Amino acid sequence: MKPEELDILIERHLGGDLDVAEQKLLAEALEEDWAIERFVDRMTLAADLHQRASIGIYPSRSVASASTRSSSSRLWQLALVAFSVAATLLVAFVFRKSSAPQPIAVLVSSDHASWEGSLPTVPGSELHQGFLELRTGVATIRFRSGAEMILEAPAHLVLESPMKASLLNGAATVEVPDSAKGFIVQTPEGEVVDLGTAFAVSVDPEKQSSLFEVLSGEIEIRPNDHTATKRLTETEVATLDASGVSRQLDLLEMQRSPDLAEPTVRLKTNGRELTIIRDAQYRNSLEPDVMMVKTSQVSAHFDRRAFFGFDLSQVDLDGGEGFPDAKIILNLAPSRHGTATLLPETSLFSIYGVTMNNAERVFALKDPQWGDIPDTTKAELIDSFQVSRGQQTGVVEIASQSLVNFLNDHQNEIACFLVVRESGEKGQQGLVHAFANSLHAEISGPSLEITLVR
Amino acid sequence: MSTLNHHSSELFSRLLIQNQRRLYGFIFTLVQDHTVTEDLLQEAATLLWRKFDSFQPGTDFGAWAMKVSRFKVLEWRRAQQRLALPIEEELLLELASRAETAQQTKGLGRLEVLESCVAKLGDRDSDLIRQRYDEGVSVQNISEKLNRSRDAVYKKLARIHRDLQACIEKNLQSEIAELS
Repeated sequence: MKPEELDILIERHLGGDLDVAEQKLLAEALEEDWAIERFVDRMTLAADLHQRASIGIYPSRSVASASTRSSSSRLWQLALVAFSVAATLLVAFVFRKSSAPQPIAVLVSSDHASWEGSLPTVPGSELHQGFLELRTGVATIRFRSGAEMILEAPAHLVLESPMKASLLNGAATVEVPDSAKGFIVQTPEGEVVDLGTAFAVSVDPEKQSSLFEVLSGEIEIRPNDHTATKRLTETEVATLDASGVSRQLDLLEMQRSPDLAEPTVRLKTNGRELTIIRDAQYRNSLEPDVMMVKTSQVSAHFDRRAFFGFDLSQVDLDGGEGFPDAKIILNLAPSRHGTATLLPETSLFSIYGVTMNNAERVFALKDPQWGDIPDTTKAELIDSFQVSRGQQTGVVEIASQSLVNFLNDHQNEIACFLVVRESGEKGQQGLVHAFANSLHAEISGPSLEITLVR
Repeated sequence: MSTLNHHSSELFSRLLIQNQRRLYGFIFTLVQDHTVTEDLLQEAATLLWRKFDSFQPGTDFGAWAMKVSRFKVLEWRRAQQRLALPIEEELLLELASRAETAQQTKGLGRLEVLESCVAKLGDRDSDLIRQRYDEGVSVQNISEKLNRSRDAVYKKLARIHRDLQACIEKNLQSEIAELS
């Protein structure tokens, strides 16, 4: 690789513009000594230019404020002061003008869409490079290049770059304006280049073939084995498989194997979530987009519990006997409060099922008090789970027979759950754990997944 | 537990400020993402503060801080499902050692040198740098504003950075020559 080529790769990497293959290329290029030197120099320069542009706070001011603090008799108070001095400076170090990693695409809209994992389902969510699995519904994704894809479940999509996506399974319609001319959809048998403006594609991994229909404009199909590429124009239909591209004159709608998963219902909390804090005067430390959980033997004032509920009356059991299987999915989110270094290596949580007949009223309270929620001694233990110290994001799945029993006992009611941290912390500044609620912009709130028929 | 006192927090703050730019540059070289760098820098600083009573005043705070930062980067990498730059841990450690050297040796007076080199840029080049770094405009938007392709913008940025790099190295050498 020539130095100028490496320079361009590095620039595009900094701009978040490399697809998966190009990222590998850059990684391999760095095996050479000269390339490492150039890379390090370039990154050092980028860091300097970034910091030069950012706002800083004059250190002398912050240090002066530390020295005017009067000494206190209690050691922990002093520790708190010293820590907050360092923390103030740390805040000053975190430059306000941070550039977030460039997203590849944006989720424009979703129709009953649910995704595998903890991906955002709020329209407007930014999507980054990686693998997406659409389990139900229809979703519209707009790439940074301007290309728009409507995706139908079940579908497996890999977002590679603003100009490329791989469809491993599923059906999609792609519309490509001038700015995204040349947008590529990769399928298992070959890739398709959209020369403008729209086409439909359906991938059937079982039959190992893909179907293309040009809605307007022109596309070019390039089979993997580099055999003859074919151009299709408006209203033309073709299949692509191991034997190449074949035009189809009269083709019935492609048969798609439906999702063979068992029928499941996914319930959301729909706003039925809240955090209760033991000492109400610290209400201001609650964040609107997460449910916070904390237990501190050092200072119980800041203890918090998460409380949320699902409306089971929405579920039509269709004459069935009850819920055979269920699981609760919670997504951890950064709470932005406290430090993980004061926690033990793993924190232990318990989730309880709470029976109360005034649940709706409690969820509607503007200012829920600690006493409004029954204590754990009056609740049913559903399950326990652990979160390790370094983990502030991730998925927690709760599935147990106790959960199923609890749900079956509350079939047409609002099933309420309480999440409590059983383990404590070494200092009152310990990390507050948090789970995304339905208001979180990027992370999904709690869901209850019920399997209807065994 | 440490006997945290008034003096150590002042000393810690001073040391952290003195080394903060170098630490940022070090971490950024290893993760190439500003948001991640800021997060890891904060985590490293927190850990450094908690372990500060084991630090010997007079010894190299920067070297210790970079060691802790490197640990934080490794921890972060292992927690990622996929990396934007998929290099092996071994190569990362090599990068870390080069980055540390770059920060320790080329760190002297680098800020002033950078300023004077940026001041030497022509109007159009200087404007591009300002948009990209000061205003945080994306390459996509810059390309639209300039009515050029994204590739053309990347080529331009690469050239400007090459020029800046050459200017910095030239000036650093003469500065080091003056000091010795």
